[in-house]
Amino acid sequence: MARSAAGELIDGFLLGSPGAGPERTAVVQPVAGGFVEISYGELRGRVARAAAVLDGLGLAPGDRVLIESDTSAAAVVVLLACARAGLTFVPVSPELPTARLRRIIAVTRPSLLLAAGAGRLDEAPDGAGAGTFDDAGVRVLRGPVVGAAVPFRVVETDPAYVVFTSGTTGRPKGIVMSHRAVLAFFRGMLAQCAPGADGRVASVSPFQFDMTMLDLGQALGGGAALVPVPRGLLRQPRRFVAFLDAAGVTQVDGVPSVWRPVLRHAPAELGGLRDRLRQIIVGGEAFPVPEFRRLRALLPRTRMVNVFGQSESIACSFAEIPEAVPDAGLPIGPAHPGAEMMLLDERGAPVTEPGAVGEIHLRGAALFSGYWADPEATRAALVPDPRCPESGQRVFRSGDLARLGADGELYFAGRRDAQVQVLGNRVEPAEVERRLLAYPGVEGAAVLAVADGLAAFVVAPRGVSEAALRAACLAELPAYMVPRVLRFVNGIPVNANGKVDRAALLASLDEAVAG
Amino acid sequence: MTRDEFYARTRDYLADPARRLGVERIGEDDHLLALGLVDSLRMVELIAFAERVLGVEIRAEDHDPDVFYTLRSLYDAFGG
Repeated sequence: MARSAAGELIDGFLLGSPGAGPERTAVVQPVAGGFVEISYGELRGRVARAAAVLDGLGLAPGDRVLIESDTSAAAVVVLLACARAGLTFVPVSPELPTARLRRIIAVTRPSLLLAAGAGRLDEAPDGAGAGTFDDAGVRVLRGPVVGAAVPFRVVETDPAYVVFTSGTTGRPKGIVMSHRAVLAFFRGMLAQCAPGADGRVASVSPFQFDMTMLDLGQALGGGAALVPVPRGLLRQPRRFVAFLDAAGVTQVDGVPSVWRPVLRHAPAELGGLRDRLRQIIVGGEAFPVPEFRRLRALLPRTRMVNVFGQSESIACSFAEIPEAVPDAGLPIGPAHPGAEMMLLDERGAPVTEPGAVGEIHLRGAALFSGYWADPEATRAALVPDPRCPESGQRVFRSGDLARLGADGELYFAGRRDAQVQVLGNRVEPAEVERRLLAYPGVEGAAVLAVADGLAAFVVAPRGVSEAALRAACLAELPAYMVPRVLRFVNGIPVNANGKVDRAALLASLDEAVAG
Repeated sequence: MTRDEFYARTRDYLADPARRLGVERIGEDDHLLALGLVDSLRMVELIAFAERVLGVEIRAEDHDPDVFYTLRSLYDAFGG
């Protein structure tokens, strides 16, 4: 019997939406030859059964459960069951390279690995349990070794999940989100852009990407239905659009690169959904304005929302994109209800002059708890409120620079550090540089962002081939972190300050590559 | 279409990026992503190309993403 939690947890919120009567559809799951609709009543039952299985293992609150899966009804059940059982879930997708999976396992020390299908359960460390799950439920194949029972209840500030992003030190960085933070985000988001209770929200992001959490908040938090989209469909734009049509999808949330192939290869088909698609949330990286205008022209009646923010609060603002998209880009801000974005200058004073640039600092209950096992990085990101350090309040120093618009709106203006976005994923170039430098013989490496990917400049002896370097990256890094362009150079140019001269490197690429 | 014909057509199809990258000949087990011959956007086009030349309908979601990365695995999965 599970201890009752003190306070509301993710599962209670997502399964208890006011519009979510037991007969209403919660998940539209694609299966061979069609779809199966899973009702909220059925979903609640499945979560209760899975949570009972997890409870029976004798794990302690806060123990980690690594879930390897694509997004599916079964994966949603497991994730909500972890929340109910007070266990912290760590989502990973099957595409994650095994070397990276091992690093995540080494640092989070999960007590249980659960995989959809075969998975990589043999990676479970000594003492950890392992099991599989599907629509029939969770099957534990090997129980974990457990310690003495822990007498404490779960509270809403406890960690709900850890997601990993690229880190400057060459190892992935784990962002710890509490139940309270996730729910503060969900509530703020739903107050601004709910899908409508009869809505159907397509989920197209990788399972480990927190845009998937956003999708869950939209769909289940809004009392609507979640439609997990098989990832392979994103490579076949016409079939992707046909899928959206067949599933009755009313909303798609995704990074710009989800739309790029559709705009190129299936614009007419997408335009055919103009009366059905009610809302599109775009974000994760800047949407090139000309491309966005094409999307808008195909779907003139769809409400388009620009979501902005970092995984340290899932996101922080939902701005409806105006009819006439400014050339400056898609506007950002203000923060969702319950949070506040502060544009501050280098001295911590508010930026008030239109046209001026500052750094976005975020206040509110949606902030992450810290970086997993990394107090130093945590201190650098969760800083005393520059406007009133005496209060003891911590705010998130995001590293995102923004320009203040004439009407108080913001426009993204780059990063304070070297971090870049690749296909909606944030990447620390230093992590890729370290990987390249680890290759035998490589003496220098500089990595920077170009159109749709990274460019790497490498100093290496003859005999080190481009393919070998790419293969070495591919073995350890997600595909989006593998440099799209790789150039051998005699030396890495530095500027007057002794820093890598990124401008000179960029200029050395032909225009077609740099984009 | 025979395996050799498929390899030849696909090498032709990828000739431009191969030339740009200095890849002299694409081996049947060469990783197209590792070589930099395809990226996510070009993969969309490569799958459409494979459907066209092999005369089959590909359901990408039914396959391990890895099958799209070498000439051999593409033909193994969709040719013959």
